[in-house]
Amino acid sequence: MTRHASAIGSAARAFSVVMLLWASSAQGRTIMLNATDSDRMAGIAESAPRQSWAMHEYRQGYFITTALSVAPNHSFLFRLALDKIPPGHRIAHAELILPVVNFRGSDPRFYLWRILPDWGPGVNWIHRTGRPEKIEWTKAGGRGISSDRATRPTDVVRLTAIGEVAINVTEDVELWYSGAATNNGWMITVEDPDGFVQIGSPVWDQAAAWKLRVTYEPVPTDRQAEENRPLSHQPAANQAG
Amino acid sequence: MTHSPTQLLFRRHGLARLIIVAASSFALAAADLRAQAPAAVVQVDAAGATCAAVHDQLGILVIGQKGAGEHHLSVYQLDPSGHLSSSAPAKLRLPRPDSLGSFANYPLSLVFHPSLPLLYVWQDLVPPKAGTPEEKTVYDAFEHLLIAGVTDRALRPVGRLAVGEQFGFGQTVATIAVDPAGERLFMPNLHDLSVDTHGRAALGYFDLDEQGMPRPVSVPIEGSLDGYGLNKFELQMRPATLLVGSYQALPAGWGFFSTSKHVVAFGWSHGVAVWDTENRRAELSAVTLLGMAGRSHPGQVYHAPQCWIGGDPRLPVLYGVGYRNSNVFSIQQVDGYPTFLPQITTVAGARFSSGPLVMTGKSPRIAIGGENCVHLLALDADGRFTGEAEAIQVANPSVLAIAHSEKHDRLYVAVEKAP
Repeated sequence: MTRHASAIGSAARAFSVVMLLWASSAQGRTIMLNATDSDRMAGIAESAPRQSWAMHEYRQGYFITTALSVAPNHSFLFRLALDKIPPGHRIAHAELILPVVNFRGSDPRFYLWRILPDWGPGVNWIHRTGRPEKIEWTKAGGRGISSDRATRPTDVVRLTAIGEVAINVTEDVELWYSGAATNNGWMITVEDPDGFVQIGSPVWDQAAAWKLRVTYEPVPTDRQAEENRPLSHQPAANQAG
Repeated sequence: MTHSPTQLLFRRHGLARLIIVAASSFALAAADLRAQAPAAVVQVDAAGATCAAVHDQLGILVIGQKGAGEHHLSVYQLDPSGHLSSSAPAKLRLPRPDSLGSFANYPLSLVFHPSLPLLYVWQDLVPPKAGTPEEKTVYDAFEHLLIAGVTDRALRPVGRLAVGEQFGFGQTVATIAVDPAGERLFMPNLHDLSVDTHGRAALGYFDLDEQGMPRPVSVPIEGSLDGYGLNKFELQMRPATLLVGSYQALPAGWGFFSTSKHVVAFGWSHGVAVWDTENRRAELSAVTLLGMAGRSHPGQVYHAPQCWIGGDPRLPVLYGVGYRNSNVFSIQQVDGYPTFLPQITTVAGARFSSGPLVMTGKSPRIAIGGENCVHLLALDADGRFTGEAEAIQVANPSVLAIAHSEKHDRLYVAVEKAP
């Protein structure tokens, strides 16, 4: 009888754990944002210090937005709103996917940085905002470490082939979502003097190819956390049934 | 008189967070065309109108016409309340070399100097065939830019220029503009002769002197090198130019927008471009908007539109209209440079035939000419679309010439036959 009861108790515990996991996974979700969810973008270049849309230099002195090039002294800024993630969750995983279409350099790579200060209309190589008043970056091009951009890059992405590049941005998205840091978006740079990276234009026909995949899940309550503890940590009384 | 609001179809374009104001139907927009013109819209009888300009302080409205008989400009006097005077408009003819008698000339753009009593007129003509003596005459003697002084509400010619191979002809669309300080005149439909292929499209400008007259520039005299390898120079009336022909053929110059003489935005395929006249390392920056392509009627194929831009330098945005299209966009500007993502809107059933005209006043709007109507799109205090629009019926199958009096908050619309 005791053995039978114990078996029932074990089965019940296992069932409850499965149900909890199921419930948890049922409430967790993955959403996919793309460049159409962006509310701010800018291409900034040292050679076009007053332009907000210096994205790709088609010929010398002529910039267009149907392509995006990143090179030394030529960067791209963007922000994706995260308001599609409902409150009361935590970020389980976040991945930024970019469509790289060309690159060159002795060690082809680009850097992804969190932008620290707010930036606004009229952003350019010199200013991080042009309205309501002009405010300069601490270092032109938003290159101020720990002031314009984060102390360390989110990632340094080495390129070996063209195509989609996935970057783990869980920490950044969690920081923004939790409110620990303000979401002022990212900056893509190339730091190597001979580096050049071309990415499909997020304002032309590659908007859908810029993806931010975010998996979030409910923050467990204290009771759920307790119940989710491993079985070996369950109180002995329960085991006795 | 009544006019009912038409709701816009706000598409959620990929670049902008737009609001679906209503799933308004094509029929709704069409029904609104039956609305009568409100008092603030003044229909002016001017067949074949191509352009218009009004000057509140001078009290005149000028309308340019093509194929209207012996005259090209009609000058209307305005009464103190902004109504057209009961007297007949003065009719003026634009000059043309006698040897081009069979090639009709016509005005395409009118603009007043911002502070001087001057009117600038851009004219073009029916093109003679390439290689004919008439073509040579056009290049040698046809003056595209005419300048008129205004005295006692009457125009008197004070300048004629813009002659030569740099100036294209045979176009049906062109705009000229003067920067807000009145220091520079921007011009359309030029050829950049410095490139190998003759006829590549360019824009240009003349700097203006204190009297509003174009300044000549110092040009090296060909074959004048001296023993030190230096040229001699002479003053010529030659415009500074920006080549745009790699990207779009003539006509070039679908609207200008400037907040200073140094930077000017102009219409571009799918969007807007900027000419930074001070920075040779970045002369041109174009913002192309995928969402500006579209169909204006059900069944019509998608097409890449030429955008016609406009704006008011006092507003933090500028506007672009898809020509023969139903899409319109606003984009923020700082110091004349477009910035941030645009707001793109589709006006159901519209087929725009003019550029956007900003109507500042108690209820700011932009006006756009259409098929037998003028579209009025409401703006908020920041110049962004509110989602409200009206389509005012007028008697013109393709409204092109519109002008707004800020003083009287009246919109003058040239029509084929006023009611």
